[in-house]
Amino acid sequence: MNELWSLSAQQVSSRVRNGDFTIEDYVFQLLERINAIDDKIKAFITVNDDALETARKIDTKIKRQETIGPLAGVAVGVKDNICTKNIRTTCASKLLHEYKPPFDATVISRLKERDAIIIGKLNLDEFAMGSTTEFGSFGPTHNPWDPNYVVGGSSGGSAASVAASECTVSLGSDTGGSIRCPASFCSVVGFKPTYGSVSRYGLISYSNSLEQIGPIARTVSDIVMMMNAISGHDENDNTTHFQKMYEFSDASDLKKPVRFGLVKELIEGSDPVISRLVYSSMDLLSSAGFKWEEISLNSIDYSLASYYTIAMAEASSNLARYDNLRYGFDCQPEGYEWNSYFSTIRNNFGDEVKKRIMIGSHVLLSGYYSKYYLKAQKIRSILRQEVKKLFKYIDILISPTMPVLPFRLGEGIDNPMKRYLIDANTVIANLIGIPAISIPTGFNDKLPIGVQLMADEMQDQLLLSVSKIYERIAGVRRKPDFI
Amino acid sequence: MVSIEHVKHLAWLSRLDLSNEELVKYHIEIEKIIEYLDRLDSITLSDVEPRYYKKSVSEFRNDQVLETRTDLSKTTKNIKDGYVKAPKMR
Amino acid sequence: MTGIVRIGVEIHCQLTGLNSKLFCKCRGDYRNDLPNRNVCPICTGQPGTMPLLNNKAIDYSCMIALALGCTIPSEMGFYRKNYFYPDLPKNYQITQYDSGGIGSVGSNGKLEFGKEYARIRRIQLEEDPGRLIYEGGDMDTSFYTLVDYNRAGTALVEIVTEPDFKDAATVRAFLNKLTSILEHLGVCNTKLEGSVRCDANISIDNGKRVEIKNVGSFREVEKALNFEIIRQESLSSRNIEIKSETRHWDNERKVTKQSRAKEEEQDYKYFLEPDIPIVLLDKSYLNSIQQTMPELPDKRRTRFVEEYHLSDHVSQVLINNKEMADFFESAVRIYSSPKEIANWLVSDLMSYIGVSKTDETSLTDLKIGPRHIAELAKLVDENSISRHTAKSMLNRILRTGEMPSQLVGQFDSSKIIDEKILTKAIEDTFDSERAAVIDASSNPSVINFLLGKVLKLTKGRADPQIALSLIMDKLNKN
Repeated sequence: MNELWSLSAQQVSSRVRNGDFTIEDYVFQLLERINAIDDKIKAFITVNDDALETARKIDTKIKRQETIGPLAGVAVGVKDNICTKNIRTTCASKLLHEYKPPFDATVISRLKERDAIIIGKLNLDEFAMGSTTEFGSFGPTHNPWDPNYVVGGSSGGSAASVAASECTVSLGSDTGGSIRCPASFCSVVGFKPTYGSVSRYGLISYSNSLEQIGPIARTVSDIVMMMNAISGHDENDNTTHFQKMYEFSDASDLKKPVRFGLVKELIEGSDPVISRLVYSSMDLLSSAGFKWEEISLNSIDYSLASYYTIAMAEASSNLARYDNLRYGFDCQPEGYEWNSYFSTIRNNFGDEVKKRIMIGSHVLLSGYYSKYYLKAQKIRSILRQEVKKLFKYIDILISPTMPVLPFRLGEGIDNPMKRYLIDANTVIANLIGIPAISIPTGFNDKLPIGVQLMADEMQDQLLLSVSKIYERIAGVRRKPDFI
Repeated sequence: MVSIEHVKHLAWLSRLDLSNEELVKYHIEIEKIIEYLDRLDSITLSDVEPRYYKKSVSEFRNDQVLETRTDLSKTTKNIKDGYVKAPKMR
Repeated sequence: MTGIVRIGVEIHCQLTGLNSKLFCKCRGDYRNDLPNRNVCPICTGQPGTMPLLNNKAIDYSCMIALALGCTIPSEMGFYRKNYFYPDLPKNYQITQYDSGGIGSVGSNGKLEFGKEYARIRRIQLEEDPGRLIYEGGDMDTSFYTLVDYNRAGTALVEIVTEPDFKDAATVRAFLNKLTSILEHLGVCNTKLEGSVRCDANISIDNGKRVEIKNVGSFREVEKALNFEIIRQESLSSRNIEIKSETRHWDNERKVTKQSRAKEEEQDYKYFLEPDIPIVLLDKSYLNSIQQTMPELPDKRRTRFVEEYHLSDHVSQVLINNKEMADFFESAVRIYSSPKEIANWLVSDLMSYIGVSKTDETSLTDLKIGPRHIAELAKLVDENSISRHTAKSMLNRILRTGEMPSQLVGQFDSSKIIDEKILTKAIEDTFDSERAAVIDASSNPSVINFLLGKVLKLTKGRADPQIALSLIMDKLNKN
C-alpha cells in the first residue's frame, strides 16, 4: 500500500487494527521518506534505530490478537529536549551531543506503554531558546513550504517533520510559543496545554514555570489522541494535576453558545495580511452562527518584558549544571583549575544561549531582583487577573498565532530584540498557564498563517472541542508542494 | 546603560570564558535587551502579589526508598575508581 | 584584658532519621557505600529531572522548629541558591530563604539551656552537597579532585543563632542541649560522623566579625572558639587590626587558618524553586505534628523528678544524653528502683564510658544493657550482695556481658574481714601446713604460700590485707 506516511494517527491506529497494513510497512515507508527528503528539511537530529524492531513487535501482538495500546503503531517524532532512554538527547547543544539519558521522560514512557513508536529526535533551537530553529548546533531546519524560509521555533523539527509527513505526530515543548509558532509557520496544529496538564519530568528545563510539553499534528483529532496518552498527574512532577480523558466530539462540551473575543492589541500589532485573514475567519464564524467581539488586554504592553525576564532568569540557573563532570563530552579535567575548566567547557554554548544566561544572571542579582524578576512575576499576576475577568463572559480568545509571516533564514538575525518581539502573541498563555492552540487558517502565497485560540485554565476540553469546530469552519488543510 | 565591565562580571558569574570579540558583540546586544526589559521599571506594582502554586504537606512524596543506582560511567568518561573526576580546586 | 565576646553559631544537622534523601528516593544513609552507588538521575542533577520533596523531611523540620520555639509560617518555600562548585550537582543548592513573604520553616526562636538562653534567628531545610576528595589528600597540591555524590541531596536542617554567646563553654552547653533535643526528636543520630557540623562567627568588643568554618564535630567547636578568642585578644593587645574574614579550623594542628583570599563578594541570585510548589503548613497540620512529637528533654526532666523522685541534677544528667535516659527508663521498667538505678548510671556507668566522650561513645557499644543494671540494683536492694561486690561485678560484666545473677556464686558476698572467721581459717591452715609454718621463720617467702592457702580455704573471700596481718601476728606469737 502506498503513501502510508500521509495517514493521520487516528487512521493508522484503526487501520492497523483491521489488518489493512502492517506497522512495519508504515514505519518502513516513513523511514524511507525521512531518508529521501530530510536532507532538504533537516528536521531530524537522530533517527531511532529500533523503530522497525518495535514496529515488528507490535505487529506480532496484533497477529496474536493480544491487547494493544490506543496509539498502536503511530510514529511519533520527539523534540530533542525530551529525554529518551539510551537514545541521545542533545538539546541541539554541543554540551549534550553525546548525552544518552539514563531514563525516559514521563511522556515517552506513556507513549511506549500505549504502543506508539518513537521514530526519532527532532531539531530545535539550542535548549529551546529561539523562535526560528536556526540556533542549534546541528544547523537550521528548513520550512517544507519553502526551504529558504524559517520553520519557526523552537520546536521547528517537530512542526516541519509533521508538515512534511516524515512522522505522523510529534511532541514539542512550549515556553513562550515554541509549539504554536512553528505550527503556524508550517501549517500544522500545535497545542500547548494548561500548565501542569502534562508531566515535564524528562523535559530538559529552559524555564520551568512557563513551559509545557504538547503535541503537534495535522488534525485536531490527532492532538486529542496524543493528549489522552500523555496528560495527567505524574508523581515525578510536583506541578502536575489529575486530568480527565479528553472527548473527541466537538459538541459535547458546547452546552451553551461559545463566545469569541478577538484580542484587539494583537490584531493591531500584526502584519496586515495576517489581520485581514483573521477578520475573514471571524466572518466565517459569524455566518456559522457564532458571536464574537473585540476585546482589549491592557497588560500586554509588559507581558513580553515579563516573559523574557522570567525565562532568562530561570534559564541562567537551569543551565548552570552543564559543567561536564557528571555528563557531557570527552574533555579531561585533569590539570585545569576548576573555574577555568567550567568556563572553558561552558563557552561551547551557542551565542543565543550565552546571552540569555548572562541576562538571566543580571535580572537575578540582589540589587536588581525587585526591579526585574519580582516585577515580572507581579505582571504575571496582573495579566492573569485581567484575563480571568475576560473569561467571565468570553469563552475563547482569538488572535493571530504570529504577528509576522515566516521570513527568510538569517533575516534580521543581527537584531535579536526584533526577533524577540514576534513572541508577543504567544507568551501570554505561558505567563498565566492557560491552554492555547494554533490552527492552520490560510496562506499568503505559499507562506502559512495560523490562528491562535486560547481558553481559561483547565478548559482544555472546551478549547479542543472549539478547535475542531474552528478547524472545520475556518481551517485549511494542504500539503506542501514538493511533497 | 550597561558597562562592558558589568558584562564581564556577568560572564564570570555564568562561568563563560568570553573572548574580547564576543564580549564586545554581546555587550551591544545585551544592552539593547536590558533596555527593553527596563520598561518593567515604569509601572509600580507595590500592592500586587506574585501568584504561587501551593500544595499541602501530604501531597508531597512519602519517605520511601527506591534504589536506582544510576551508573555515571555511562554518561561521563571522567571516572576514576568509581569517583567522578573533577578539576583541581586551586 | 578580656573584651566583650559575641559568638553566633550555624549548625547543620542531617536528618538521618529519614529513609530517603530530601528530593529523591535514594537512601538517606549514604555511609559505607562505594562511591557514586547511592545516586539517581535527580541527585546527580541529570537534565530533565525535578526535585521531589520528601514530606517526612517537612515533618522533621517542623518538629525542630517547634522544639526551638520558632515561629512557623503558614506557607513556606524553597529557593535556589545559585553558585558554582564541583560538589553541587546542579550548581545551585535548593534551600530556604526569606523573600516576598515566603520564608523558611522557622524563625525567631529561643532555646533555654541551664540558666542561659540563645535566640534562634532562622531554621531552614536544605540539601547536602556531594563530597570532594583531594587526590593526594590536599586541596592545594592535588592535580585533580574526585567527587562522590552519595551524600548529595540528603536532607539537612540549618539552625542559625543570634550572636548571643559570651564564651566557648556556653556554646558547648548550648550544643549539648541541642544535641539532646535532636536525639529526643529522633530526627538525627548525632553520633554519626558528619551528621552535625558547626560554623561560628565571633567578634570582640563589637569589632569585625570572623567566621570559623570546617569544624567537624561539636567537641571541636569549643577548642576552635577558644583558640580564636585568644588569637583575637592577642592581636588587639598588640594593636593589630582584626580583619573581617573566614577562617578554617585545622583539625590536625588545632588552629584556625585564614581561608584563601576571598573571591569577590558572592551574589547567590536567590529565587523561588519553580518545581516545588509552596508548602502549606496549616494549623491542623502543625497541631498534628505537635501532638505526635516525641517528649522533649525539658519535659522529660520534669517527669523524671515527679515520677521517679530523682533530684533535678540527676534527672538533668540522665537527660543530657538521650541514650542514657532511655537506658534508665528501660531498666526501671524491668525493676522499679529508680533511685538505685539512676545512681548506678550516673556515678558508675557514666564514668566508665567517659561523659566527656559522649560525642563518640555510644551506650549501644557496651556489652551490658538495662537488664544488667536492673538486676544489679535488685541484688543490692535484696541484700544478696553488698554494694561493694556489686561494683566489682559491674566492672566484670562491662567486659563480659554476663548477667549479675549468674555471678552471685563467684561474688557471693563481700570479702571476709571478720577476724574471728579469718583466725579460724588461719588456725586450720597452720594445723595442716606445719612444716611451712616452721620454715616461715627463716624464709619470709613462705608467708605468701600460707596466705595463698588461707585464700583457697575461704574460696578467695578472705580479705588479703587483714589475713596477712593476722598471719604475721600468729607467726610472731609462735
